[in-house]
Amino acid sequence: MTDDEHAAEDLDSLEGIRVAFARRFEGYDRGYHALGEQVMKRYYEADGQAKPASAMTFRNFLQGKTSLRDPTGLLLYFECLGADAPQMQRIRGTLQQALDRRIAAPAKQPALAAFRESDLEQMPYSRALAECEAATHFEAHTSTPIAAVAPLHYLLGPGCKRDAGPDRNNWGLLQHMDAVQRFLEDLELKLQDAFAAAAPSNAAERRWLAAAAVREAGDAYAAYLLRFPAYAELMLSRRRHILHGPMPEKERQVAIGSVKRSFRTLYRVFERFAQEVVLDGDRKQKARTPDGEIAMEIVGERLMSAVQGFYMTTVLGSTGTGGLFAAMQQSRREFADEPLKGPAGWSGDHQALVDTNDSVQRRARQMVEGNARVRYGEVKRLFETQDDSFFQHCYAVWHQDFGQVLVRQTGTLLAGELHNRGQLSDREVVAFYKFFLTSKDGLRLHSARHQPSLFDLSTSD
Amino acid sequence: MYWAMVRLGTPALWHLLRMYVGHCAAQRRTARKLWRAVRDAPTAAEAPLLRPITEHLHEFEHAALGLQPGASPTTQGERITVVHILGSGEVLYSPLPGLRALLRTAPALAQHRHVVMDTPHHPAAYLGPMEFASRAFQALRPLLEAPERGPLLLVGLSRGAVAAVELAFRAAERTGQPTAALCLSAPTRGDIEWPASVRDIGLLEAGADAALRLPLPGFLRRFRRARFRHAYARVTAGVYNELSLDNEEMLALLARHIRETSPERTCLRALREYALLGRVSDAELRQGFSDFAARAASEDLVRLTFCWGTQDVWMPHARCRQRVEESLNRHPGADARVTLHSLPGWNHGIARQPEQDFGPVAALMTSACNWLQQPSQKCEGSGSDDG
Repeated sequence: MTDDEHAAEDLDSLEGIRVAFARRFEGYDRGYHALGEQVMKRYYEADGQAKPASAMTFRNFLQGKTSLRDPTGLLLYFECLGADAPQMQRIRGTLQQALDRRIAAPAKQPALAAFRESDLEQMPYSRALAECEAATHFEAHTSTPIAAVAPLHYLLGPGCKRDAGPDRNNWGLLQHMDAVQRFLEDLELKLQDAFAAAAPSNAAERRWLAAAAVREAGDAYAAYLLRFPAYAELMLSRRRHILHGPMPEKERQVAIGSVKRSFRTLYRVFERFAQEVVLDGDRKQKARTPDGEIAMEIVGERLMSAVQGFYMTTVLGSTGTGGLFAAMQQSRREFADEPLKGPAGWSGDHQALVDTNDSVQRRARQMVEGNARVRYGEVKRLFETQDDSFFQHCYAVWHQDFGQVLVRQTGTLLAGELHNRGQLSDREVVAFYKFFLTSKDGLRLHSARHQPSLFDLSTSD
Repeated sequence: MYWAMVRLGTPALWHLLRMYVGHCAAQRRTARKLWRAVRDAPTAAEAPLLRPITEHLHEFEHAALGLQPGASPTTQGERITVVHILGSGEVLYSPLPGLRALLRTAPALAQHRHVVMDTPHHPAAYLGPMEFASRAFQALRPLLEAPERGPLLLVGLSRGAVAAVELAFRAAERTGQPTAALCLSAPTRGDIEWPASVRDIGLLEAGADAALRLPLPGFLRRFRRARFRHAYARVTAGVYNELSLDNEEMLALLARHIRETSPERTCLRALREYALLGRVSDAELRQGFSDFAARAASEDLVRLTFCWGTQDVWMPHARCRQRVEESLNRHPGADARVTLHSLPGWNHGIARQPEQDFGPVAALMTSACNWLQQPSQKCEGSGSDDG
């Protein structure tokens, strides 16, 4: 066989190996038994090799007659038939996978039974729950994105109890919402304290504090999503549970109430901003009308969506393929070295996100390709170690791309929406934009920020 | 800063003057009585009426409730902690006259623990209703975490009633225990025309805040303290007279409170309370009550009882009741956990006027306590019930 023919051999499947070596054996000038003797000789001369299978086993393998209890017993045969080191590496990997599948097969069959869709549909709901628990147990070990068994588990956690203890791995949506609510309420109390400390007559300071609170709320929510990705996954993932099913109504209403309260707490920050900055003290209480309340809710939704958008495009988008992040940052990356009139776009942290992901993907490939016996735990730890520095870079990108424009966006969106809803006249909205976007006092508000931050993630652990 | 004082103080003085002039003869008489009671401090030390639990929570002493020291009423069922949440302008002693009358009418209620929650002083509590509710919950939290507290009954008057609704749900969610709330004269609408007395008091807030921030030499500070004490006595007397709460017992307790506390701090808090009343929007209250009705539809652990006085001079009781009815109608099942009542003859200060007939109030409180002690029992008279 020529080198090209060798290169074209499929060594990544058992069938491919069988075909490749049947062809090679055709060129071998001796019979099976002679080959078997040569193999045994090599075995006794070498250390640590797997014990070879018999020559008849090798023949049966080539003829497709054997099911191979331990395929690694064929390795030396392939070496004798001229497989070089890279080919032996691939063959070793394929044969080891075949062995591992054989070992896992008895456990796999019952687990896979749940996924023969027609069977699942015919089962009573309670049995379907039990069948699918095996799958989620597996997912918990592999740290893949969370998919609870059923809506009940999604809501209350795997233990289906309201009090799930301090271990977040046992939490469902309700427990996560409780934690978020406590975190946001603690922050809101501190923001209230800071705001109330300013004299009612000191309008400039109250405006600054209202602006800084907007920035602080955005930073806090972004930091929370980064620190506790399980919460983000529960809230933002479409694949929340394997089985369709009912949720207990009381807990569902509690969850709804909890989400509402958490977001009302966040929106309160925008209300103060609207009253102090946009409506200049709001003596006519325009923010408190139904139109005013709706305007603030709409803007609050847009701005919280900015945080969630950051999570999608930067945090999730820079892992895996990294394609979304690359797509969103094309111009900023391209013109990174250009002299710009506006703020810088691409930074060391942006580059670090790309480099970190590239590096991890490369190292993972090398790990698996270089050693067919590499433990899954080592591969898993490679990705987990990535997380620590990865989240720091993500947070830096949040500040640059989203955080530092948050106050500006809040002001312009609020004014626009209040004008749209008749709470600001044409003259008033123009006056506001002039103040907010061009005056020294207005521009000062864009960079308003509490230093150090008021939120504390450590108490959420 | 002095310019700010002039800018804010001038309209504040105008509002104060207008209020003084606007007070009727009866209000001025009440003010004079209160001021005399403040000045004429008793020579002997007064027995304590409250025992502090935390900074914001105080338990009424047995003697203060008119009970014999050491006498413990027969305990029927679990001992409930009744938390009295104050209305705007009230002080720690405000519930006492009514509570004494209540316990005379329904002695069985004396077995329970009666605690009063002080209104927060922190200025942040008065940024809005949500901020007030979150501060109130912070104040209540130590009690929720206390192992000996037993079932919880929140009794709130006016603004305290609205707070009681929110706190009841949060307490039930936090503890997983049944919680009841008795909501007296809850202001469920923001589009009502508050009386001039309330509006005028609220307008004094900015000027008072500016006055307190002024750095003054010693003798001017004393002058300021005296003026604040006088102004506080005057505005409080006017309000209490308007609400028919100016009986001798209440005035004596108010006077005691004024003597015992910092006049600036107490006065500023009262001004902030009234200013908050004027700032609450109808849209916000409507959202809040809609939210509570949604929660009531599915929350088994909470029971709410609303009542309004038919002689309420501050709020149109029928419209306030209607707001709650509309919220309940939008959420089927909520009315199983909420009852509404109109109490003939009562002014805004329900359970504060000892000369009134406490029978209906006692019945409502007893019903709530019975439910707490037997949580599987549904609340009687679901829906609406008058008298």
